[in-house]
Amino acid sequence: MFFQSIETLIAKAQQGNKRAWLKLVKQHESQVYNYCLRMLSNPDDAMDLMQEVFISVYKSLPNFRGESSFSTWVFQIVHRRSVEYYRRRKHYQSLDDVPEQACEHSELEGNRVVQAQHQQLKSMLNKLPWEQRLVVELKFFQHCTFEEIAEQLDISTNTAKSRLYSALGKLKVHLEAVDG
Amino acid sequence: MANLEMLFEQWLDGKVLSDKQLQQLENDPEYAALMSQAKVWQQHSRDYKAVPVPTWDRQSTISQLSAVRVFSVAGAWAVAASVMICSLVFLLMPQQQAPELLDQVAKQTQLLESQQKQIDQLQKIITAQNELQQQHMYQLAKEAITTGRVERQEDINSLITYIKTQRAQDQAYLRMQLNDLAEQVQEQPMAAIAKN
Repeated sequence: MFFQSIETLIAKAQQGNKRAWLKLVKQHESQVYNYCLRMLSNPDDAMDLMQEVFISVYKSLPNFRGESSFSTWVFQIVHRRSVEYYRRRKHYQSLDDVPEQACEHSELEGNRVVQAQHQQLKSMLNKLPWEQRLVVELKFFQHCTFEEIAEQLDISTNTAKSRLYSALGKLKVHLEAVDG
Repeated sequence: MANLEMLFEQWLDGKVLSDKQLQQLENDPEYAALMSQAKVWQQHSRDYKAVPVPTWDRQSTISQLSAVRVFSVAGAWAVAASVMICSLVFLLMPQQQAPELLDQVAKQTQLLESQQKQIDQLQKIITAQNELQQQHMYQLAKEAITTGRVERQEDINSLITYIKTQRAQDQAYLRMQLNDLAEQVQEQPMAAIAKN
């Protein structure tokens, strides 16, 4: 009922307060879910990954010291878990082979424009290899600098740049193909 | 070129460039292409409407771990309690009983040692018995194989004898039939015999 700052919620959750933890989850689930959805293109996989991420966050919560913002820390876990998830899934199927699924969410059902944008974005992301997709996500959707990307993905800044430039090059080919 | 790369990075990071700097980037075909492609992604990022999260069980993020935590906490409590009880027993024990206690401890130690020796001996006996049993099993298997081989040999021999007897009987029967035919031919008049 009363407003509680994120620091209070984190402190309470660290002490084992379930309600505080559930509030934290509620505050971050949309960002995490949409990230997972963009990366995996499949709502079921996105859901699975999101659940894995929050279990992982809960497990690591006692280690959170507040050196970075909670959101940044959560997303570091998200990146790690998504890479692990992708490696696991890669053995079963190529993500490019996953059939495009119609969005079932009621708020979007009537909005054809949004649906079309999502489909286009999905198809653009699916054209990219996983490593490049990650860099694109971090650069354009998480608005990270190359240094932050390099730190989060544990690669050099130059590698991060070259991955992004390759991704942009691939988009050019894709757009040319779409335009005919 | 390095200058252009730096400008492009600044532009990507959202820093405001002067018109001249933007002109520089746009005049370079490579960076102009990169900029236009980056603009497509930026546009998608701006237009992106967050998909609502489907209903899910947020409690599941806790419940999968709580069981483990309960066990680990219970384990820690058990260890702590046993350590405390041991310390209390040791501290609250009257000092006069110390020699008796030491005697008891020595006896207990001796008992434990003798028990350990017994366990070792039993272990040796079990190992020896296992080896003996393995040897017996080996002998049994060997005998079974030999017996099977002899039996098969005998069966084959009796079969061969039976076939030989059968063949001898067949040959005798054929001989008899041929003799009958020869007799019939001899008894027939000469006129009935075909002439070439």
